[in-house]
Amino acid sequence: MTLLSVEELAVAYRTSQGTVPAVRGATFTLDPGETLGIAGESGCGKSTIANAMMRLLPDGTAVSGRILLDGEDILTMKPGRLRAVRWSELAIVFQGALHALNPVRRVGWQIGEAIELHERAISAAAVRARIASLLERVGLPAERADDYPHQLSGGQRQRVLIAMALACNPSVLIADEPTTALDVMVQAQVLELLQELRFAHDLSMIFITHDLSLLTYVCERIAVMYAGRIVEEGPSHEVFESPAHPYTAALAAAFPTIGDRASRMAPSGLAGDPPDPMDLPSGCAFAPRCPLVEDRCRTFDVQLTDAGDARRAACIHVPAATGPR
Amino acid sequence: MNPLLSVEDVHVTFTRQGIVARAVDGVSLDVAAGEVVALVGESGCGKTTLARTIMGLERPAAGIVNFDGHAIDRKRLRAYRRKVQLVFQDPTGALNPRHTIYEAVAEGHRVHRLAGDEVAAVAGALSRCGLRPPERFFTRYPHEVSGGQRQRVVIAGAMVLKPQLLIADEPVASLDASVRGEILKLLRDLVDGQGLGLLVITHDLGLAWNIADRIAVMYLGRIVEIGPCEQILERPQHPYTKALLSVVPESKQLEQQILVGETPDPRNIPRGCRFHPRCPLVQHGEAERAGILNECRTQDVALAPTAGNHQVACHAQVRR
Amino acid sequence: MTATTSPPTERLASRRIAWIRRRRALADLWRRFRRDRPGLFGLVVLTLIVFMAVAAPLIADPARFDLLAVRDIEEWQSPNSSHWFGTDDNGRDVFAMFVHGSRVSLLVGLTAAAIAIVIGSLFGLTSGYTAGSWLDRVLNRVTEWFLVIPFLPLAIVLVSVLDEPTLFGLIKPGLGVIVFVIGITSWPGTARVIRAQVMSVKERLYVDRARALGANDRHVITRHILPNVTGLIVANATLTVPITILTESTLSFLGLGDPTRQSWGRILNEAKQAGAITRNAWWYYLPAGIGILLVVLAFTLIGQALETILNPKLRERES
Repeated sequence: MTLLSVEELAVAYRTSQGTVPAVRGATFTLDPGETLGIAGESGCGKSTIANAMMRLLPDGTAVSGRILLDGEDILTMKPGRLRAVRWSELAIVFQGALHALNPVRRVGWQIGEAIELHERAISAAAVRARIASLLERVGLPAERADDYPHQLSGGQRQRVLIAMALACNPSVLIADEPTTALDVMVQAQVLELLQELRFAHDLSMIFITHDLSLLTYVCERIAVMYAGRIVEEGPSHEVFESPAHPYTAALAAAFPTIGDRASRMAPSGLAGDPPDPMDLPSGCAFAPRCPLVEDRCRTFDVQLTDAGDARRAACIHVPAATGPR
Repeated sequence: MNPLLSVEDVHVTFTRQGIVARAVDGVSLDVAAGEVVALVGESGCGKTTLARTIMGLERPAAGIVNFDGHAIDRKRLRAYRRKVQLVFQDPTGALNPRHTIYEAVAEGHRVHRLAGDEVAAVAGALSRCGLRPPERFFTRYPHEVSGGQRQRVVIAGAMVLKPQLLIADEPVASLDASVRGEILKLLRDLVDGQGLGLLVITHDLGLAWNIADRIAVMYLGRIVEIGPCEQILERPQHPYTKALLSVVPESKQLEQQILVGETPDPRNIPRGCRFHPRCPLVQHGEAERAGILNECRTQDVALAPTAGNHQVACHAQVRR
Repeated sequence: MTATTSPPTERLASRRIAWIRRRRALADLWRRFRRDRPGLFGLVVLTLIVFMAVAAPLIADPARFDLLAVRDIEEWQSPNSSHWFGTDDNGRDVFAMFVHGSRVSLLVGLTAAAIAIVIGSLFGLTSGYTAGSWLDRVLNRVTEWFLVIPFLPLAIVLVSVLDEPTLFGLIKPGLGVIVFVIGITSWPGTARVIRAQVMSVKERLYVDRARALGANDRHVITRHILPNVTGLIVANATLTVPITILTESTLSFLGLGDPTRQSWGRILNEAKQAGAITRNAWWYYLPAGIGILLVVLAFTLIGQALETILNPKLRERES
């Protein structure tokens, strides 16, 4: 029974320079209790998907497709229903930079704000008790509620954001680059916390990051995005260890395994850069940088095709791909 | 053979409102020509402060920074800066958006009033850093090229002075993952081809695995482990290094050792071994069983050699 | 990556590269300015007014408002074919007074603004670059001191007291005093804005890089700080002019201006004193009033357009 189902989601921003297609048709599902990882670099559209799910996109953005939460389409919800759903069923954890929190409000007040917006009749004492228990659940002493964001370290701020996200007991948690600005050890602590919370509250999670190797620890399934499309999807270890799409292979190689002789003194990367969404090449968007490129790649835009057991990849080298041969 | 750079027992402190923060608390380090040394550590360990001190942007409270056999003279910093150059973490911020790429690279040439054809020097630096044909980039602005190319421009700007040592502070941290490899390859090629010394400051152990010959692990202002890269990353001896490796997604180790709490503030360095409050050996009782718990708590420990060029600052190792 | 094609170049002299850059920057500036409709409107209006001021003697004969020469002209005429803006209570041609009055308004406004900009920029640059030092503190106190001087009482005092040139002959009675007063009371605003910008640029990473390359203060100031501050100075200057023009009009309206020269403020003063409002002789006071309004509006619109284009923060949001 699928909890969240995204169908052919397409998002295009309107800017003074024209329309920017940030997401060009993404389809994926999330089952209850499952963690899905979305990996990709800058400009691939992963954060746009997160914002689209919460309907936090700027006015005037063109959105098409469906995002079904328990059968209801988030994109067509009326404002009242959307407000009720936001946070109490679907919550988001942003990158814990200083500007994710209001700098002039104590952190306890900010967590309480979420609670009070959803439970109007709750008493002040009950709110305080909830804040204290939330902070403890994320590993912070309850007295921290009286601190301002700048008094906390990066790791502590990230925990506050997680506490805020859990304030209304959502069923789905979206984590958008939650550990990117943190030290390796603090990152490990935060990931451990997320795993604990996941099992304690039976949360389903969507974990968005550019660090592919990280996702193999945290997620059961991974979707790799490039230029607004999902180019590969499947069980996390399989995708990381034997990628079906050349971009996934390149991305995995960018995070060398320590102890692996092949990557010692051999940094591997791709030439060129992630494409400008306003200036996408014809055919496969990855063709200009692909080490396995062939002539037909430049004219034929491959779709996601089955590439094995519960795996899909958008590359002509996948045996089942249809197209000009 | 004399090392190119030799840092001897350097201490750097910052005082604010009467409280002293010991950002670098006694560090000695050598970098030879043609060698890549990675200085790894988490934020607050003092690695950036050390880099800035080596560059002459900060003044050490004690200790000497030796370059090519001579202590650096603060009065002759300009001459020093020709030989030691810095590569920044943020290539977009490091380039003046109003200057063309030509002007950005020529800046060093002009500042030092170097003899010789400026245009040829700029073209040469750009091509050596992979931006070919260089003339195509002369009139472009930083925002007109990609992030990876911007970093190449910054490196070219440093290379135009033909330095002997490069210090790279998180050179690829703000670049896209698929682009990092190219920049790292460029840095390694410059070291191998031109005989440069390179000191890379990073928190990324995978980067060290990719390009470093030697690695030094820093914690709270001190180097706690230093030695050949492969040895340290495959057979770490200091408990901090072991813990770091265990949580890095790129390592093959399975048993994760997640340390408790966060790195203490440099204003409050713990007594005894500075790592002991978070050390797994202390927390799981091994230190007590080995009879060194008292030393861990009360005695500071210095780097001591173990095998070959490998040095560790740990009471457990010293005992052995 | 969007590529801009540059002309094939072999051995470009570095000076030529700088020249190309400046030409492109100016063309870029003009292109963006053109897109700002209000700014363009302001520019057109200002051009017309400046043309009128410069060509004043050719457009209107000063004799037409010479009191002796107009003795036989009928007073209080409403606008007609021989007197486009009618005549005043003495038979002077209002149109001629209006055209010539524009000269003083613009001249005083621009000169006083220039003085304010020069003093303000020097103060702002110095205190911004040495921020935190004793010099900065001293300069800040001086700026604050000048900030609180009220221009009106100062003007009244100086005009009444000064009947001969003072301060090495620089401040002459009449227009000189007005320019002096406006200049010294307007520069603190500019100084503060420039200081803030200099302080912000000084902290930028590319300044750090210049120092790492071995640059000294002179290089940092001329190659990095000034180019990033000049735009702001220009935009600020353009926005200071309306203030100085309004100030001059106010002072002239209150009778503190130069009695020997025509100015729009003075026209308003004389119109009021002659009872033009009660007589409903709108042709006397309306042109001057609208003239002041248009000049102020023109400079303000141009200044806002320039500020949007040249202010790096606003520009980032735009793109």
